[in-house]
Amino acid sequence: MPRLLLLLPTMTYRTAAFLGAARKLGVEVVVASERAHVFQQAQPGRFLSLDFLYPDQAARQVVEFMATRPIDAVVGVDDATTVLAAVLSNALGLPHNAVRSTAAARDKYRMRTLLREDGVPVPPYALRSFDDDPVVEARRTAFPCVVKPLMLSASRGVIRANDEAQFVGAVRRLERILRTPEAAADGEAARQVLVEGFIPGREVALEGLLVKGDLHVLALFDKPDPLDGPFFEETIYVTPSRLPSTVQAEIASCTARAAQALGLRDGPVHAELRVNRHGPSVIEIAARSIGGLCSRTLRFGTGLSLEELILRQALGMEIPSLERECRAVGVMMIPIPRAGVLKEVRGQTEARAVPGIDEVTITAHPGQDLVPLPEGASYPGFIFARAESPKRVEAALREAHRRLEFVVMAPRKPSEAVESRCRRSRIQ
Amino acid sequence: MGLFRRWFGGTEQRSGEAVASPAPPETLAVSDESVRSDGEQGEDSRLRAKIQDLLDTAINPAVAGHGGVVSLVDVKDKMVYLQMGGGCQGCGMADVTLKQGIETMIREELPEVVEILDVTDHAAGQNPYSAASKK
Repeated sequence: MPRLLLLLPTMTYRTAAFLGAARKLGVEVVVASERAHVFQQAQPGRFLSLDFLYPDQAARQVVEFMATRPIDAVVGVDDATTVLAAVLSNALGLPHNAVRSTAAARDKYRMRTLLREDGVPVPPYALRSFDDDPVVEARRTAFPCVVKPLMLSASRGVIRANDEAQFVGAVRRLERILRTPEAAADGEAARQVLVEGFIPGREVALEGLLVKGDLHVLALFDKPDPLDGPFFEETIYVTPSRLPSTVQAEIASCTARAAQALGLRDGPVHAELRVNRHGPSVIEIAARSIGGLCSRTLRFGTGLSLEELILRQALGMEIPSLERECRAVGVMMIPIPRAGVLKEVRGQTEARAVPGIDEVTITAHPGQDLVPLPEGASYPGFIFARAESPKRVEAALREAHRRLEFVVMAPRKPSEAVESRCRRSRIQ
Repeated sequence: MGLFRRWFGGTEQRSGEAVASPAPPETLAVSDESVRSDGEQGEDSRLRAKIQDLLDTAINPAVAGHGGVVSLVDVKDKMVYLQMGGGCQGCGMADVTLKQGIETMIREELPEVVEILDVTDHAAGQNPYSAASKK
C-alpha cells in the first residue's frame, strides 16, 4: 500500500476531501500538522507534528521518520504547505516541483517579477515597505491601485485605493493586519506591501493540472459578481465559463506561460486572471488547488474528485480522465453579512429546496466571531449548485443565498474577546 | 423505534452523550429489529461493549486533552455510529481524529467492523478546538 505524507494545517477546510480521496485510492496516510495531534503518541506511524515555518528542521524530522516508514509522495494542501511539500520531497528524493518555483508562486512580488520578465501580462506593480512614509509613497503612485500583502491568501488585506488619502488609509490598515501573529510569522514579507495597478474587467479562476510541464485545464470559473473593490470578497464561481472560446483559449495560454515562467511543471495550479479588451492579465498563480470547499463542485471522468486527481498524480498512479462532467456547476462562498458574533443561520432548509442546489454547508459555528474583509479570512459557509447551464447555476446560488438569514449579534467588546480567548486556551 | 431508543433509554447511557445530542439519523430511528437475527444482534452487542471499552480506556482520555469527547451512538450490522462533542465538535481536524486515530484504533482491535460513521452535527459545535479559517 502506498504511503502518503499529507501536510494538513489544523485550520484547513481541505481535510475531509484529501482523506476521503486517499481512502478511495487505498493509500495509507501520515498526517503532518503544525500542532501535535491527540493520537500522535498512540499512533506514531500516522501522525507527525512539523513546524511549518522551519522547513529544514521539518525535513530532518521527515527523513528520520522515513527511515522506518517509507513515504511515496508528499502533498501540501494549501499555500502554507506547498513550499514545504517541495522542500520535503527534495530531501526525500521524491519527484516534485522545484522549491524555488513553489516559493516564487507563494510570494506575490517574486511571482510578478518572474512573469513580467517572461513577457506574461501582469498589472504594473511596485514593492513598498511599511518603513516608508505612506504619504510620500502616495504621491508617486498612479490611481486607482490595489495594495496587497505579499503572502496572505483569500483576498485578506487586499484593498483598492482611488486617491492619495485612500492609499494612506489602506497601507496603514494593511500594516495593522500584518501585525497579527499569524501574518507576522511571514517575517520580512510581513513588513512589505505590493502596490499594483487596478485592472478593470471580468475576473476568472482557472483550475489546472500540470503534467510534465503541460497545463491541462480542469475548469475555468467565471466570477459573475464584479470585483472592483474597495475589498475583493470572492462570492460566486461558475463553470463552464460563458466567455467566448477564443478568450478562454487566451486565458489558458496565459496561465500555461505563467506556470512555465515560474518553473512549475507538475501538480495542481490555481490561477486568477483579469480579462478585458486588452486580453487576460495574471493576478495570481498558485501551486495548489482551489481553496475552501470549492473543489466539491468538480467531478472528473466517472466521478473522480479533484483531490483524487492530485493524489493519483503525486503517487504516480494512472489518471483515467481529466474531463470534467458535462453539467454546469457553481459554488458561492457565502459573504460575511456583517461583523459580529454568529447566533444562528435560518432558512437552510428553504435554501436547500431551491432547484439545482446540491448542498448548503454552514461552516461557521454559533458563537463564532464573523470578521469581514479585509481583516477576515474565512467564509461562514458555502452553497453548491448543479444545473443544465451556467445561468441556471448562478440563479440557483443567488436564490438559495437570498433564503438564508444570518442572525448576527453585536461584535464582542474587547474585554469579552479576551475572556473568550482565555476560555479557548484553557481548553487547549 | 428500535436500537436508538433502546440504547439511550436505559442504564447503558454514558457520560459523553450529555455533551451533544442532535436528532439521530433517520436511518437509525426507523431500524427494524424484527428482521435481524439473534446472531446479528448478539454480534452488534458484543461490538458495542468492546467499542465502549475502547472509548472509555483509550480514545476519550486522549481527546480529553483537547476538551473533546466521543460517544458511541449505536452499532448496527457491524456499522459503528459515533458522535463527537466538546472540542471535537466542529473541529477542523475532526476528520483526522476520526479516520486516522479513532478508526485505526477500532479496526486494530475489531477488524470485523464494516464502517465507522460520524453522525455529529459539526455545524453546531460551539467551541471547536480548531475551526477552519482559510479559503
